[in-house]
Amino acid sequence: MTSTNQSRRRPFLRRAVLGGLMTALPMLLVCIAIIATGEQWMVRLAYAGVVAVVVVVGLQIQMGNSGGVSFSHTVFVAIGAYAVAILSVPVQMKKLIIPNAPFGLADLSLSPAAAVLVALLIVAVLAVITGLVIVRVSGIAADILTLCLQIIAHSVFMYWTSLFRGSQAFFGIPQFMTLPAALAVAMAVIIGARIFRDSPWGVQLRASSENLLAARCFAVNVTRLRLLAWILSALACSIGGMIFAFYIGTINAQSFYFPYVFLTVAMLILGGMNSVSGAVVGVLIISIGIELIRNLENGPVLFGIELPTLYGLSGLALGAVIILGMVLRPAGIMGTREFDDILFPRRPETE
Amino acid sequence: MLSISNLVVAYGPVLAVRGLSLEVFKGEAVALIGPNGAGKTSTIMALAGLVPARGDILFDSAPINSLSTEDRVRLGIALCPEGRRVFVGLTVLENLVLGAASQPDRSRRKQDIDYCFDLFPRLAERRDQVAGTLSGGEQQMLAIARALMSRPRFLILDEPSLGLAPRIIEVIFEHIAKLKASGMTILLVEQNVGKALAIADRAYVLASGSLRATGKASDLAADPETISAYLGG
Repeated sequence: MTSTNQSRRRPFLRRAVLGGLMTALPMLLVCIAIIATGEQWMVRLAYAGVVAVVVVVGLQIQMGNSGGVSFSHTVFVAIGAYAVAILSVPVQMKKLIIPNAPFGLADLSLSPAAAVLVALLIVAVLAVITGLVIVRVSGIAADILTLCLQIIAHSVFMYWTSLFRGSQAFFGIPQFMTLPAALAVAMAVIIGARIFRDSPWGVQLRASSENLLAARCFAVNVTRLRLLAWILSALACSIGGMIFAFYIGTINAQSFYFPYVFLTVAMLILGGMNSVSGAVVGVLIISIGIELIRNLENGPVLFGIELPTLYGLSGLALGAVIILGMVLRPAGIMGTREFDDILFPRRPETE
Repeated sequence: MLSISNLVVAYGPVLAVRGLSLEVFKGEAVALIGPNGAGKTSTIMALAGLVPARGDILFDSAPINSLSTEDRVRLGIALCPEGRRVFVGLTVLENLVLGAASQPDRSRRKQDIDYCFDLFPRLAERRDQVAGTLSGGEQQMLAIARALMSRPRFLILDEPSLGLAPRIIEVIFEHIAKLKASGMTILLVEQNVGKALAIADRAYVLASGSLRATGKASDLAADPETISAYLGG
């Protein structure tokens, strides 16, 4: 009885969860194939891809529902990574890397689980503070604000050396994550993003980005919904940073800066920012594409012809793919559709 | 039901509405007419809380100046904005469901949707169609139906005839007449003076942000001098 009531009250939930599993499927299949090969270097690449899925899906929660571009999502990736790093590195190691850490952090070491919880709390607080400013602004001004936020955060990482080690790497983070564990995290994030997108809140928010005035006429509280999307997006992105830190063990502020910002934004725009499946498709295409092209850079022998070495080709090709994608499919490969919309067209809820 | 006194709406140094006072009683249809730039849309945007305004706005004898748009919708004021503004990527049904964003009680929603489909059978036929593929007239019907989903007691229609063919305008006004007959209080903003005066009980004529004439709609319609002086027709 309870379950029928539940599904009647939230008819979108079943669809969002099952659809979310379908959205995650391509990522899952590629990773399982890679694990089956047993090649460690491929597993490491796949892991970076799964981290990118978490980050780009996190970005999609913001861009796909509220509209506009965000350049600050990797700030939360970095905060997530640094927060778990600072909280979970063993005390002896801290004496070596951040001996003068403020707030007594040099003498504190939490278990990874506790570190994750505290880190999520920190991210949520910072997301609320930044969000309160950003959600009140629309259009290009909001995009520029996120750009400023990125630059401010990077300066803090670079110059608060007693806590973040500036331009030096932060190492000694416990490395316990595996590819299957990261896949489970990514699937949870994907399903979470789908639930938000399909929920009445998500629909109202997407409607408001299509037509702000009309949405406000129907009592849609746009500011509150935008803030919610901003916080959820920040949390998802920070989770990407955390699973990255717990796998690689060493982080550096530079790796979360503009090149990573543009790479992840390009992945989302190519795949289609209005759908979670688009985020996954964009990551897959660009990650695999870059690896293939990177091989070409070294001047391999193809069909008996020795190709010249062409360093920088992957950057060039990335740009070309995005230009082609934008010209041929301006709304991205998936447009506004999810995988399940193609296979099982949606019948609008009749209630 | 609604009483406005000394309403002033300013965009920077530009005064769009200069001290307008008007009243709408329960069950009435009142037309707000005037040429382009008269301040009609600014007036109703201020009513809906979408632009800042000075002056007193009373709804059911209580001041609503400080309320947000959302709270005004919950009180029963619905604005059907100019240019229809349906959500083109969503289906007819989804548009209607969005119109009920202020109604947490989902059990009444089906009833409300059925009511809208009774009123606009054309929409019922196209319930699963994406709103962007509807004709202009159908989009206007959808915009009105969507406004009704918030269960308003006071409906503001901004230029429902805008950009529609004369034959379609006839149909839309028949629907508005039906709504009025059902007891809905309506404030109708129109440039189509003939149509507006034919349906309204009373009318206010606005020009350059100020009130120029007011009276029974039938009297105004019979007074070609006022009409031509302020409305150029």
